[in-house]
Amino acid sequence: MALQPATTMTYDDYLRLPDDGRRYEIIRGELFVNPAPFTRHQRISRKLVVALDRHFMEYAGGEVFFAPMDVVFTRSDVVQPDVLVILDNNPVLHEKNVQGAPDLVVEILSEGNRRYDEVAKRRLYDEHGVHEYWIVDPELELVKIYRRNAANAYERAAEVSAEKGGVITTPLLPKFELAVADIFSAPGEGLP
Amino acid sequence: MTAHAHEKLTYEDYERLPEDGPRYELIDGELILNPSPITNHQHVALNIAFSLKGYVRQVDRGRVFAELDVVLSKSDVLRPDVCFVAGDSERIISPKNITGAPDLVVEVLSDGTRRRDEIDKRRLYERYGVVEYWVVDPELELVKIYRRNAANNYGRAVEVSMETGGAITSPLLPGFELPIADVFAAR
Repeated sequence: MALQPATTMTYDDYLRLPDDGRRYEIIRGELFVNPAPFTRHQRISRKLVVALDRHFMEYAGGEVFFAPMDVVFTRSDVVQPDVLVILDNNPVLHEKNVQGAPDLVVEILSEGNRRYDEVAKRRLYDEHGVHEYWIVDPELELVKIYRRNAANAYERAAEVSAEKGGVITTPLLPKFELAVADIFSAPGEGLP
Repeated sequence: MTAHAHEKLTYEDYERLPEDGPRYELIDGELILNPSPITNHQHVALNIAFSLKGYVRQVDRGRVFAELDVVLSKSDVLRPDVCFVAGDSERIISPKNITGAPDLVVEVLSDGTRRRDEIDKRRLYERYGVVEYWVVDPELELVKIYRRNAANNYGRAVEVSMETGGAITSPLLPGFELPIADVFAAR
């Protein structure tokens, strides 16, 4: 007899959770609750979304979204990534949510909760076929890029830092270039 | 009237700080106040210190210290969680402190000191010639190893993690092997 957790949550339970500003996610049926993000986190999120949106305005090919937006991988794996990109040929976008793997997911770390984004969510995105996963570290001002290799497993393709003047590029968006320093810049600098 | 730039502190000022006070360090003349280490930080630092201590005792060369002042310059005084001074460098050890660059420095991250440990201190250790800098991340259960390359810079860090397994080894410590699980073991 296989061991089962005492209770696991599904997407139906998830939809009944209160709309109280906190971020609820379920991974393997386990509920994770995170407080609403801080100012700096939101500023970084905005700069990323603006950069990606500008790219799609100019070159088309996809669309960028940001939290809160449900990404339903399975009935017991439902998350709200900080930023997600869905390319035009990816059929996961539905009226109410995303059903399946976005092409690119970005999470911005919160201090004290790094393990969740760095480990639990990386494994989830890896397992469910997200092509690229960017982890933004506001404290160290760097972005770790996980990308699928030939064996279809995530590998740390790059670690791009403001310290070294790094620029983010990706095979998913051939003309996209984003100086890392710009996403960590003060209001009014770098990017809107 | 221009604002008066505040004066930088030197090691002499630093030495006059009360001995029973909190843990201070001096970076570029700025006094840095560090929080007391938390439980998780302590056991990880002890695991590494014990392991290195066992090694130096076995090979009968080199010295290991925890929480000892390392005077890199008059205005840069750090107190690494753990440091190792190789047999050939023991002249930098004085009765009060270490004056110069240890061969190996280990810092265990705490929430709130990540930037200082990962960036500010890394740059200092690199500049003053610390051969290896191990940054231990208890939250992600991994160790980043910065090692001086032929150009005398720290290259990209080698990472050893609980997730991928493996052991920490070092050209500075022939025969030394510290399984990653032992770094984070609670006992």
